[in-house]
Amino acid sequence: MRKLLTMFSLLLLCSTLVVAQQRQITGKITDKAGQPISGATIQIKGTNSGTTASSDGSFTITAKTGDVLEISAVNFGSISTRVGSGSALGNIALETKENVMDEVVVTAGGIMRKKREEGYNATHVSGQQLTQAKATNLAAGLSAKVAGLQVNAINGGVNPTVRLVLRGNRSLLGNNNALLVVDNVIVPNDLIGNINPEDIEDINVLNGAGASALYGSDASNGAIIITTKRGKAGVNTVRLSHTTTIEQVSFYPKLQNEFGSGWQTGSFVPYENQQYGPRFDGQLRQLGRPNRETGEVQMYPYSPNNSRKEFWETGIQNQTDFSISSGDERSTYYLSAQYLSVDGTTPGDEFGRAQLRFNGSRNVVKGLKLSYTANYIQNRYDITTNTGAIYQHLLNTPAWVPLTRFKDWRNDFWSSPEGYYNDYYANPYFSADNYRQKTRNDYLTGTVQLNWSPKTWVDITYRMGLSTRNNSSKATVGRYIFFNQDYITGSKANVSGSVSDGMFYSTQLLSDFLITFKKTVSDFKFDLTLGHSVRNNHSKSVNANVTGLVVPDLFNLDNRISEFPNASESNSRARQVGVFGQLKVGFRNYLFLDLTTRNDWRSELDPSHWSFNYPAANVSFIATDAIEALRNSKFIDNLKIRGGWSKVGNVNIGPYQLIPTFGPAFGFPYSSAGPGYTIGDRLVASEIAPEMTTGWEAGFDVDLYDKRINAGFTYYSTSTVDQTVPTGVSIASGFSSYLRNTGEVSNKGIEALLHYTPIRGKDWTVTVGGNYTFNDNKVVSISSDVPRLQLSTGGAAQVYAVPGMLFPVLIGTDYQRDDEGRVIVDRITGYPIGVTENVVLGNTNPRHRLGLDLEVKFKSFRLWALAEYRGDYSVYHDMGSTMDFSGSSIRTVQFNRERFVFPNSAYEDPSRPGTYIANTTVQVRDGGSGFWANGDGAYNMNVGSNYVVSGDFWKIREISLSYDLPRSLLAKTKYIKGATISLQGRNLFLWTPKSNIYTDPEYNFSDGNAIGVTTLSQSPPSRYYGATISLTF
Amino acid sequence: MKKLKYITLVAASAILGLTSCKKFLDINENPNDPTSSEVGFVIPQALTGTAALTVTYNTYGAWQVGYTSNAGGFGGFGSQLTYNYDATSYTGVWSASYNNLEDYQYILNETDGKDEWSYFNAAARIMKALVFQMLVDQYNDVPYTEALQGLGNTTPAYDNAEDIYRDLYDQLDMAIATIHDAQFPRPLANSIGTADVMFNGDMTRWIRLANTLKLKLLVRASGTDVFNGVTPTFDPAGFIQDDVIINPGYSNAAGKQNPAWQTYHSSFAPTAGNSRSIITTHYVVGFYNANKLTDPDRAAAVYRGGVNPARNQTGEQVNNPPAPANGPVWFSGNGSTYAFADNPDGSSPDKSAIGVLKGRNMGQPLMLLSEALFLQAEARMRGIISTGDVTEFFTDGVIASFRYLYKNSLNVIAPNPLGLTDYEADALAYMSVNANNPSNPKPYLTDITEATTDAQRLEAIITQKYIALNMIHGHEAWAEYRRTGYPAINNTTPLGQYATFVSILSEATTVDRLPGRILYPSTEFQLNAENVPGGVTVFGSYVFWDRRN
Repeated sequence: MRKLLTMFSLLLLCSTLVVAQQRQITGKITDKAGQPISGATIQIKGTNSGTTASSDGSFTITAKTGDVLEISAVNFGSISTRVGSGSALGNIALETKENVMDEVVVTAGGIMRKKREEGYNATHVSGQQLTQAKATNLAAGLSAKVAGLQVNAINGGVNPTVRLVLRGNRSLLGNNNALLVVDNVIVPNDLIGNINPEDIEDINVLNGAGASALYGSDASNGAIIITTKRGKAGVNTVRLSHTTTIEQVSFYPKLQNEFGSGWQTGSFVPYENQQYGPRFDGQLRQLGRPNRETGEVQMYPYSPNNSRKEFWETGIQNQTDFSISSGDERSTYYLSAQYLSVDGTTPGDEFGRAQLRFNGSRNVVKGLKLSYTANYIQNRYDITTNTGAIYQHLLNTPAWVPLTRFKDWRNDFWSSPEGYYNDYYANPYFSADNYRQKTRNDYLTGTVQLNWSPKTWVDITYRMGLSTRNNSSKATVGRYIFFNQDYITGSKANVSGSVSDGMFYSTQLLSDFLITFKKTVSDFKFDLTLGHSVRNNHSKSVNANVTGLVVPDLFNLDNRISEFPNASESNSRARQVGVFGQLKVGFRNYLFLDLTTRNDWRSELDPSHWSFNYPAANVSFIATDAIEALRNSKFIDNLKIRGGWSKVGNVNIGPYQLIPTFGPAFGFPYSSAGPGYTIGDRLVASEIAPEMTTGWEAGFDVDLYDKRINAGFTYYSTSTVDQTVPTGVSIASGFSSYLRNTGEVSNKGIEALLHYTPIRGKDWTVTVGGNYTFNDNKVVSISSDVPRLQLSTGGAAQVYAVPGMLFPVLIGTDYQRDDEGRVIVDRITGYPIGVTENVVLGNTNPRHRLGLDLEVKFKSFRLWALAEYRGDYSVYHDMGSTMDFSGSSIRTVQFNRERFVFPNSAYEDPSRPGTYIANTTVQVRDGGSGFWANGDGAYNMNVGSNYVVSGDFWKIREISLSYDLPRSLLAKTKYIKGATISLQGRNLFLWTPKSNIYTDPEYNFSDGNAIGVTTLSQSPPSRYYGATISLTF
Repeated sequence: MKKLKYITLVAASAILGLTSCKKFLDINENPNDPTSSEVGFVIPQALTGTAALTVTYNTYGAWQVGYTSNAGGFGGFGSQLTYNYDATSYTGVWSASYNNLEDYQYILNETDGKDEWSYFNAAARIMKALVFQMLVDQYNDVPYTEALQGLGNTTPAYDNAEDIYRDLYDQLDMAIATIHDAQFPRPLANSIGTADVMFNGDMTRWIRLANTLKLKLLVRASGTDVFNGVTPTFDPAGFIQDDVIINPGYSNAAGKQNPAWQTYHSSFAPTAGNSRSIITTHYVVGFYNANKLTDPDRAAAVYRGGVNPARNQTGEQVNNPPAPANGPVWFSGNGSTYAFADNPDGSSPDKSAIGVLKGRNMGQPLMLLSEALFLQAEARMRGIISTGDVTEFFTDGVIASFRYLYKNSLNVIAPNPLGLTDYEADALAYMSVNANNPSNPKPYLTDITEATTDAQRLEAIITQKYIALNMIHGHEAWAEYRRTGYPAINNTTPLGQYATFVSILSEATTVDRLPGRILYPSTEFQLNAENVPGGVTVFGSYVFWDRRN
């Protein structure tokens, strides 16, 4: 028998040799409206041989007379047809499947469920939806596509960091990023920017903790469950595609082009960074100081140019993808490779990523299935570490300076640090070149899973997952000593050079064991899953650095003027053990109750407090199946009503944090005095517990009008208590902070989606729709001794958590105002009077988010567009004060650098102190640098409210137009089954309110919870557009 | 029976499972940082922390008394020039002090009542008293009895400054007694080396420091009734006999440089100066360049440029010169540039620098011998001590100042490029030249025998202390100025650049147009609001011994 089987598969493989008995059968598969169904599966009954329909619905299969072809497609009913004597089967129309609710999806713990059983909001994103605009970063590809999911690309650069948050921030200071699960295994969040989006089959976004409670301590932030592509039995596909993308700065700070060099209003200084000098007049003027050796000076026309923007280059990205998938009745495999190279907009910045993936499965014996995946990713960064300084230097460049001519700082005197015109700020090309970092990351992830069904009523699953990251990075600063020290001025100085070399690895090992029992008792169906899960995290980092190089440009730790390099080491180990159970009861396939419980033990916590229980329950009810009247409705296709409750925790404390530590400071150890230790400044409560999130949600999903309309709606409410917060303590206690559990954060909101297909015809299909999210994220309380919790430090407005307010808010300095809100000015000088106490300047998480999408299909053309709106929030742009200080900002010319009456101001009535008279006459004493760039900043620069502006925006996230080449054209090539050409763009347009003259409000200075502050360290936002050619063999 | 067997089996495996689970999870032992430390490792760190603290205090004090001024090419000095401090000004003075004190408190907690650790206990108690006096001298009332208790009290109450002064005196006596009473004390060393980076375990020197600190408390509070009823007594070991210097082994490496050098000269990888934004003032230069006194030798030791260093009138922001291109104004070393300074590490003592910034490896002075001698001069004058001679103390104080400034970074007098080695002869010459200068209206400033009143004697002592402390301990000069009003200034408007060190941008409403004090840091108002004293203002509140009270 076995021999026969082998022979049989051999015959299949060599089917061309046996055409004698068999022949090519062709056909076309469409829906009832005649619209082709691409990807429909055609299988010969009783065998594993089959094929899939191409994008125009047509297929070719080798079969013989009498074979029965079983034709099926997702969302459609299946149909069987017997092969007659002819070769052409013609059009085969499939009925739309009665119930899309029967699609099977992967849920928490890798458990497969039908959609109808999901008692919570979950959004499914297909691989195609993810990659249609060719986002190189998976997270960027999710932007605006999922209700409840906020995706923030927090910076520009060659591989932007992205923050993914579901249903608002639950933790004040801890992790709020959604849990990332790939092929049923939890992986570290940094993989999100490194997984190849082309490998993804689909994503199931579990918005709430209720859906993901089975993951226990990791689950409070919701989960993004990614399933990668696998081979299909009987389908051999080879895909090759290439994408080239151009990146250009899309939004630039609004700069003035009227006034040039000078720090005092109207007087010209050739070496000045500030732009409060005379108005441009086109005359030739001296730039910078003369060459000390030759006496030469450089002269340029005193008129503005565009070089401050032209400094940012046009970036290019090239992405090549290759994949093979295949399978037979016992095994499948999928193999893919990707190479991505990115040349960024910052001069010299590069990024490369290469990856390989191998997925496979094998039915070992009947009932025992083995599946495995392996993914290797390597990325390489070569970027400057000085983006913030470069940007600052740019803004401190008067508009007439021909900046782009100063690239060659090594050879050209006027570009060198000595000769560079600016006395106070370095040449940005020098900064970009001299401050570099090279980083290598190698990721290896793998899973092995065994499924065994010894009996029909029992399933046993065991899986192991591994993810490791190996990183090494080297940051360098070239040594630069001025050949003539007299060129050293104000802030221009020698650079001693430095090298910092670091390595780390992190490893996550997981093991899950699940056993599921199924039992049906009359109308009731019971599924009981019991499981056990172990997670082990280990990481280590070592860093050594030296400052002060001997040989310039030799970047080695041995090349140093000091006796020893500085070195540091850090190790971390954490473990988690969980046991869980899930009982699902189904009644007549329309009412489902899901009960889960999980107990976790966490090594990071004190043994007396390390065990926690997380229960959850949810219900789904398919009204259209249960209620006779609805079942027969012509209008309502499906209606699911769902709801759930859950309690899960989030351990926001790392290993080894419970006991205060001693550490060396002040240069210890010394060779003569030996070691020295000082006591750490933090106190920790030993009874630290996880932050507990309790929440409920309710909603419905509905399909209407022959599925032309589908909609969903969810309301949720969560409360997170026992925030892990370092509260401040009086420094006189000898310590400065005290880490403990205190405080509560709440989130309430709605998630809604609606799609409508007005046209669904043979040639045309048009679908429009969108998703909407409202989230009300509040700090309910913190602690009686913590009136506010500061999340960031720095400029004139910073991010805080304040009890009773939205989370988070900006608090910063504002002008003194009278009762009517008018700014109080000095009656004599006209200047506003000092800044006062800090005030709340706005919330920083958008309360409203809307994603709108449009899909138009016309024959082989497909157009897709996605727009996003975010509103009702504010952002503090820290660059604003730099722009005003330098005089480069458009704000500083709003009164033509002339004296002006401070808008909406008032001064104190000298005869009646405490009352104020509207100011219409008293002008500020100096409308130039004296006001805008005043040394202590009291009039303008240090007033945070000047730079807090609405963060609202509309963005065109994605547009793509693709065209499938007709089969007739490809037929001649014999090998090519399909070819697609597409054009796509991302982040093409950004519209913001007029007040935002700074940057993309989506950006943030950190990827933590302190949302709402942009700084100069984020390079300007970019738009991307490119083209892809994709071939299927 | 069979059932029982099963139950036992299940129970046993459950217990086994739980214990192994505990073992599996019990991995939270910190592999990165120690969670306890023997006191022998804490004391060198704490002493070095106090050394760094003196630089934090000096930076603050130097602005108040005109040792430093704003240099050309820099702006944004704000309240440094107006004196209009808010609760965020100089907060490091507060936080660094308590941070340092916590280390001494840890040693006290670990060693109290343990004979074996007597010397550690006494040393920590003396240092705690020293730092608390520094704190009280800036803030008046501060948390003291309830301070430094960690979770034991996170909102410590403020103690009356006079009460603290009184208790510090007793604490110093207690420390001296602890040293004397010790039966089998461990030397001040740890398992690896010496722990005492100040006196190398010499307990007599610790007693002398304690005596001198007691004297300082008595002298500073002499105008008040804090010590009424206290008969000053001192251990027969006497007062300090040399400059008190902390040096854990400062060296030419990142983070290991002398903190004053690190702050005012350059980072260890020698590039540009760290303090290019500050230069000195005309007022203080007047004590060297014949405007008030003639002192070319100490000027040569202290300043790049000798009697003619880059200087400014504080607050002047238009015609102020920049810092010298090749070194801070307080560096007289041979180096022509930051990058290639000749032997700044003192490896060739004949080339090494002297003065205030002697080298990267110089020790950090905690108390100058000259300060102690001037204290004794004043104490003798006031009758706080009954032995010795005011003139002798005064003369020795001036000589000690010359001596400290002539020492190189290895703390020795050695041939140097400036040719300044004979400190005694130079000091005596200085004193007589100025005293015999017919155009000097105050000959008593260098020759106290010329003084006819105690006020003149006090002016001479404090003025010489001011010169000796120049850019070393600005906070002490500032305290003495607040207490005595010396060195004399003349605030006739417009403010003369040699007549006063008051900033021309002063917003102070005090009689001398100088700030009264700095404010409690904003963190205290946020985190210890019930206790922090209200109503404290920069221009209206003074430390209890301030003459302006």
